[in-house]
This record gives sequence, structure tokens and C-alpha cells, in this order.
Amino acid sequence: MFIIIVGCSETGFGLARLLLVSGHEVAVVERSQARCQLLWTELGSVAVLGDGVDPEDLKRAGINRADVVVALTGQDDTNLVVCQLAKHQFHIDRTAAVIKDAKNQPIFRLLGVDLIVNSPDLILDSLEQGIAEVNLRRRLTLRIPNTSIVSIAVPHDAAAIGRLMTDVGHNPQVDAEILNHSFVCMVIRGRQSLPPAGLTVAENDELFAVTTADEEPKLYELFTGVKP
Amino acid sequence: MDILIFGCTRLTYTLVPHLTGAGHRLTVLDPDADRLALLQRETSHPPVQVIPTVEPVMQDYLQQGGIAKCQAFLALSGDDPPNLLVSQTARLIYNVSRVYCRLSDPLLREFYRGLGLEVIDAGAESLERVRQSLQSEAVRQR
Repeated sequence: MFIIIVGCSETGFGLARLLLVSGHEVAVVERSQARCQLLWTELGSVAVLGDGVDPEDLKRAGINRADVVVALTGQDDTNLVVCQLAKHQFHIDRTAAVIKDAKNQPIFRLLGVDLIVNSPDLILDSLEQGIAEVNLRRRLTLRIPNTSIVSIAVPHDAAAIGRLMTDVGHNPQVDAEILNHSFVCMVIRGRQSLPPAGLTVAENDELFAVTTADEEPKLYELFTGVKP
Repeated sequence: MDILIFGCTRLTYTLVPHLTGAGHRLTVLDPDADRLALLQRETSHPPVQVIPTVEPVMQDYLQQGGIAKCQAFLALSGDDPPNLLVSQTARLIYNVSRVYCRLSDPLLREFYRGLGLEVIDAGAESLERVRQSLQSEAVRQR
């Protein structure tokens, strides 16, 4: 694939290197001569000295044959303009941007930016989950609305211990499913990852599950015995 | 009507006396407190509300400036990308009926006109058009 990156921040530089290593073609549009020089020295002739909101500079970078455009300038407003130019003037199918202000997410989505990475929230989530002792971690928010992958650590006193993994979401008294849109897809036990089928729940298991915003509290309660 | 203005520039100084004179209620956002103070001194009757924007993240300031209930929004800062972000937020998130976005770059002007944004430049003709348009709207509201 041919990927154009606008802005050679630390992230831009890192992404360029990563993509080159995986065999993709990359062009980086960057305003600063010094950052371009760094790219030329470290990664070869991938840098284009220019402004990502200038259609002429984007053309010089080869946007007419690009598959993806990624806006990493460090400014939400500039990133938005880059993505809009890419999408509507150059008909790029896939645009991506990093934003600093989470409140800008709705306008980016409304204006058709395909992938929006909200950098402060990601960092805060990682810090919070790394510092505090938590039994539930949100691992990945999927593009399907309200759906995410979470991991749940089973405490030593959970009522679910000893029950079949696949039965925990089932209420035997009324023979009905308690959860309809949540399921465990993988269990980490010790250093091994195991499929949930046939396993019984044990202390210290870490379960990876797909769940919805509505069902997440119930799923958590079933496996830990604690109301969130 | 209530008008929210993003950016306290020469253009703002030119436009504001006409708008307050026509009875509009104005709020102006800008990071530079000195420029805002100057604007207030020059247009004391009736007063213009000003909000200094300390951080570069704009959404909270837009809300504080009453974007949810204003009838017109003008992005007049000298920088094209911030003008574009706030104008499109005003138009598409807050459904402000009249949004004017100042752009200096002729290529961006043409591109965003094509996307349906009401784009102006810093020229006298543009200013006159904004003034007349807001004036006729005010008359209709009365």
C-alpha cells in the first residue's frame, strides 16, 4: 500500500518506520526542514518538505495514487483539513487522524474521517488501569457501536468458580440466557491462552470477552460477584 | 440576534461596531486578552462580551460563548484550519443557521465553498455581504 503521513511528529516518524519495515510505500509531508532532514538521514527519501493543508504539496507527495492518508500534525484543526482534502479533493478511501481534544471526535466522525485516535484518552486509560487495581479492563473499543473487548480477572471468592465457562451467562432456574450479546472468547490461565469451551472458571483466570455497553456491568457481576 | 465571533482580528474590529450598532448581541473569543480589551474599549455602547481562550482546545469556549443558542457564527481568526474546525462544528454539531468562515488561502476557499460552507475573505466586499445578510435577518426577526 502507499500511505501518506502528514506531520513528522514522534508518532509520524515511528509510523513511517513501522510501515516501511512492513514493506509499504510511504511519503511524509512535513513543514520543518530539520524534521525532513532527520527523515532523509534515517529513512531515505520519504520526506516531502511542504504543508499538508496545501493541495499542491499533497500532489507533490503523490496523493493522487495514495491508498491511505494519516494526519499526525499535532493540531486537531490541521488534521481535520488534511483529511477533508484527502477525502473530497483526492478521493482517498481511508483517512486517519490523531486528535488531542476528545470533544472534537463527533465533528471528525460527521465529516467522514475513517479512523479517529483520541490520544489523551488512550494514555489516561492506560495509566489508570496500570496504576489502580482493577478487575475489569477495556482492551479495545470496536467500531461496531457500543461494543468492546474487555478483560475480567476472576477474584478468589467469585461464585462463578467451578462452573462451566460457557454456562455462567445462563440462568438454569428459568433456562434463559442472562447475556445475549456478550461472550468469553479466550481465557488466560497462568501463561497459557485457552479456548473457553469445556473449561471451568478458576481463581485468577483472566477472561477476554466481547460485550456491549448495556451488558458489561452484568457480565462483570457474573464473573466476579461484585456489582460495578 | 446573538452572534458568536471566533477571533479578534482587524476584521473583527471593523465589523463589530456595525453589528452592535444594528442591535446585535456579540460575544468574541480570542487567546489574546489585550486585543479583547482593546475591542471592549472601542465598543463600549452597547458592551461586547469577550472570552479569553487560554487553551488551544476550543469546544468548551464555544459552549461558554453560547454557541448552542446563537443565530450566527463568524470565524474571523487569521488562521485557516482553526476557522474551519470551529465553523464546521457550529454548522454541523450546533446547527447554527448562519455560519461565515474566513479563509486566506484561495485554494481552501474554493474547496470549502464546494463543500457548502459560507466562505469569506478579508476583503471589503465580503464584509459588506456579511453585514447586509445579518441586517436583513435581524429585520425579518423583528
